[in-house]
Amino acid sequence: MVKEIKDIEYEKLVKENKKVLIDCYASWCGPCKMLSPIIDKLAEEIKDVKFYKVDVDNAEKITSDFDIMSIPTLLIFEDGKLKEKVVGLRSKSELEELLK
Amino acid sequence: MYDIIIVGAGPAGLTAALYAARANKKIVVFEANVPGGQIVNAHMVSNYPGVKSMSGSDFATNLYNQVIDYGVEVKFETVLSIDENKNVTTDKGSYSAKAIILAPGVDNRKLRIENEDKLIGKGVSYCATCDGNFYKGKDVAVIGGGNTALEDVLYLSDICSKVYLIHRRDSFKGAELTLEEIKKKNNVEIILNSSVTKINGIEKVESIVINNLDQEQIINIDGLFVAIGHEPKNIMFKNVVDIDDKGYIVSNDGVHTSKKGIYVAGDARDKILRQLTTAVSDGSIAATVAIKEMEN
Repeated sequence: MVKEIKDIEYEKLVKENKKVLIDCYASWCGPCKMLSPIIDKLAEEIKDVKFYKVDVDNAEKITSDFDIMSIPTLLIFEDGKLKEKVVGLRSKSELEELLK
Repeated sequence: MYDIIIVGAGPAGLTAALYAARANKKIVVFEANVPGGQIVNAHMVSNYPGVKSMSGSDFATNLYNQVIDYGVEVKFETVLSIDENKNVTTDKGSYSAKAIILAPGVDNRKLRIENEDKLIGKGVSYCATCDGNFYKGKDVAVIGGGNTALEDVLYLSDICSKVYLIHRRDSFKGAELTLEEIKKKNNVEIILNSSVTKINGIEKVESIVINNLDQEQIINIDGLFVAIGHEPKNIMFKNVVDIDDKGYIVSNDGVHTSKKGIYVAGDARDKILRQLTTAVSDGSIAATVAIKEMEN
């Protein structure tokens, strides 16, 4: 299972880890729920990326820092910087490609 | 070698998997996106017999888990092509089976107007239940006239300060009951006989231009929810099975395609009603027929 974090923790986590993926979701978002088994699988398979999830309902900082207006949104960080903001659903292989 | 390869993990494909798994068949389900299909976008399912009310994503999660519990393998791979010998090529590999059930579903239909693609996730949305909460206290418009559009309006009217419902015809296709509910809302404005011709905005949606009986009108909004139905995505099958002029897979009896051993289920086939009830019906029939014909 992917670890849930508070959004204020994200800055520290992206600095501490080389590659980070943050799954921004909400409990009322159907597609987000269905995305989670895929994110869980990716987290199992890709060991050099740290996976976290944030509930956007309690995440004013991250939603305003990255102008999130649609979920699911996946934020991919590398070397402490945002590398990719993925809005909407993507296939597992597209995500694998983005995490390479 | 599998007994059955199922393309698509929506209600039709997962129901086919359920029936096939219960018949002890060796099966695999390929899903390009997330499991659940269109129903995951439904705020509430209220027309599925025996289920009084349940969110679409809960329904999909239950069905997915039910299938997984039978040991069914759902692979998150994109099917690129199939052939008449029942070989399936995905972005990860090639597989073969005695039968294929096509249940790829449909995609959201787009308006195909200026700035639509550019502003997806920046005000343009195809899923009110996903993105509605980002428009708290804001003005939004819903485009469409079917059930999804009406449900979206009802859902958004509790969140947004103003909701425009814009429809190109003079009456609605969606359920009468929902329309009555909408008419009770004082923050909903219904605009008929109008189509959206342009979306304005650079970083995000600022306004839309609508054409109402040849009069142009600009409406300032923060969010545009497009609910104008769906379109098939059967291109990769067109060299193998017959596709009609609208892009749906042809099936004269509702289960067989034009190729022996390849079956179709759910929204992707030509049919009168695309609903959860008809999708699961298709799925159960496709699996049962596939198994029967494979054993003969």
